[in-house]
This record gives sequence, structure tokens and C-alpha cells, in this order.
Amino acid sequence: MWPDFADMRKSLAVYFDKVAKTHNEPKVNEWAPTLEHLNKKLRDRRAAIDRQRQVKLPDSLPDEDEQAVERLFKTPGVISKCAREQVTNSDIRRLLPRSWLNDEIINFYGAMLNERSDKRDAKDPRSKLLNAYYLSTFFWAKLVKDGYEKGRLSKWTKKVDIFSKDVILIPVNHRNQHWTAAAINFKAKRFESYDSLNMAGEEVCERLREYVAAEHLNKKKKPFDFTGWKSHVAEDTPQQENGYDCGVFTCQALESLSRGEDKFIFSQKDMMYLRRRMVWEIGHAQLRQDA
Amino acid sequence: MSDEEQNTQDIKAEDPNAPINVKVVSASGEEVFFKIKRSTKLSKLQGAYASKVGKDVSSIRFLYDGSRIQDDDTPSSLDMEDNDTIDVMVEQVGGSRS
Repeated sequence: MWPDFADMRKSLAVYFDKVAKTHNEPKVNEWAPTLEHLNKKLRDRRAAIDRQRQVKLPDSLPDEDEQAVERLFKTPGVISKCAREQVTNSDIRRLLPRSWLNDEIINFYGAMLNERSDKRDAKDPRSKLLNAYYLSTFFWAKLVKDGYEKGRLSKWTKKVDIFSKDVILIPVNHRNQHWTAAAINFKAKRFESYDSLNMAGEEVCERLREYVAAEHLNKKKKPFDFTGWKSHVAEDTPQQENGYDCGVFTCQALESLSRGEDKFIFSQKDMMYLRRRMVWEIGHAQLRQDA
Repeated sequence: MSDEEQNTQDIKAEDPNAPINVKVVSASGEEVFFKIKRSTKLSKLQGAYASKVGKDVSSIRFLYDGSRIQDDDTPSSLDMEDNDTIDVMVEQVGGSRS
């Protein structure tokens, strides 16, 4: 019987397709882990997370601060201002349990991070605060939609030299549904992505790489030296276990990163507390430190 | 340079009330042009723009070179130049991914 050429052609096509794809992909390690290896990896990862968790966040604010939080929820109109950002009552109420956060809350938080970084004492050896710079939630929107040129992103940093910073902090909004944290880490030479659902990653790092290339060409008039730079999609990012807390995870990730801390100590169980702490912080235009 | 151009140049440099042209661009790329005095509060422009496009002013954000425009800002306080652009962004939200 004659072989079925149509079938053979099909399977060959599939095979060549696969070869072509594999060829274009970064080389994967041929070594396959055994169950034992996987178990060890899992144990190591849990141990690492447990070590991070040794520093625990409190369950609640001191009584008088909890009362201040309640008062802030009831204060009408504009509640607080920081730099060029302001937050109204309808914004602050997004920090009540189960609400989605909006740009106003996240950008206010970012403005506080910028202010804290500007005021830090760089000579204080105990201070872990980095020379950080937060770019607003609209930066990513412009970068993705219009690109560097059409979005006129060179003007966004007309008063800031990003290349003089330790870290650039960037909140990323995904299709008006999800917030993740990203960073350009000049100290560690990394494009970083932190997603409380572990879905975003590579493409975020890739966009940041393109931005750095364009910004350097525009401001320094020569190509950026990417030697030693790599993408870091953090798999140990604390994960949300619901459909509403990603904005809080994002703010807290950016806050930790501004202190040079990329092993985050918060987790899902801290979200109720962190929402209230954020209300206090925004209401007083001042970040707290209790960990 | 014609006399007329010369005059505009002079006015721009000396008269704080000389009008400038400002382009307001929405997130979807639509452009609306305004001619305003350098001393006019931009809150007026924001209100006019919002009613023109039929949006609540609290649902949109006005950015000049990435910085949020505040109600008390004027073209002169922001060092704006003739034919500069203001970006209009819409509120962003997120909680998870569906």
C-alpha cells in the first residue's frame, strides 16, 4: 500500500514548524527535572517565602489612626494633596474592601514615593531608600498606545535624568482590568515585572527596554549600553486570591522596590490592613513604615 | 519676517495676556484647539473641553508633558508655549483580569 503523502506532508510541516519555532526561541535546557528535584525546588521556594514572612505586618493601625481612617472615609470633597496629585472622597472609598483602585489612588501613592525619595538622607547608612523616580499610570498607556515619539515621552522627563536614578517605578494598567508593578532597575541592570496574578511579564520588560533605548538616544544622543542587562519576571511575587486587590499589591510592590527590597513581605492576608494603612497615608500625605 | 509676525513675537515676549494656541488631544487622538491667554486659569479650558466633548470633568485627566494640570495652573505658570499640546486621559481602574 502506498503511504499517505498528504498525511506525511502534514506531519512534516508540523515538524518543520516546530523546528523553526524552537530555533527562534531562546535555548531551553535539555535537562528534565525529576520529581525529587521538583519537590526540592518547591521546598526551597516555600522556605524562602517563609523567611520573607518572618517580618510580619500588623493586623491593624493604632486605635487613633483607625479612627482617622474612618473619618477620612466620611470626609467629602478633596481629601488630600501631594505634589500635583489629589484624591477625593470617591477615590479614597476605593480603598474600602473589595473595591478596584483607580489611577488617582495609585498616582497619589507614587507622588508620595517621589517625595520620600527626594527628601531622603543619602548619607544616612541606615536609610535603605533608593534614589527612585515614579512615573504615573499614564506613562505606560502613552508608551503602549502612541510610542515614544508620538506620545512625546521625551518631554515627560524634561526635568529628570532617569539615568541618574537607582530605579524607575512604573505602574502598568492592563486593559483597564488589572494593575501590575514594573521597574527599570539601574542598580541591578534589570527590567522588572511583578504581577500578583503572575501573567504579565516578558512583554512588559521588552517595552521598558525599548523605552530606555529611545530615551537614551533622545537625551544622551547615543545608544544605551545594554551590556549585562536582563529581564526579571519575578515568580515569587505575592499572589492575590481574589478579583480586586491587584492595585494594592501594585502600590506595595512599588513601595518595597523604592527601598531596594524585591522580596516582598506582604501577602493576601495583609490586604485589609494595607488598604487601611493606605487611607491613613494618603489622608496625611505621608508614608508609614511599620515593617 | 513680516511686520505682522514681528508684532506677534513681541507680544508673546512682553504681554502676559497675549493669547496662545493650545491643542488638546484625547486618548483616541481627537484634537480640539483653544486660544487662551497666558494668564487664564487652565481650569476654564478643562471645563470648556469637558462640556464640548460631553464628559464629566472628574472622569478625565489633563496632562501637560506628563504632569497633572491643577485647577490654579495657567499657561504661564507651566511655561507653556504657543502650539503646545495637552493630553486628555481617561480614568484607569483595575482589580484583576477577567
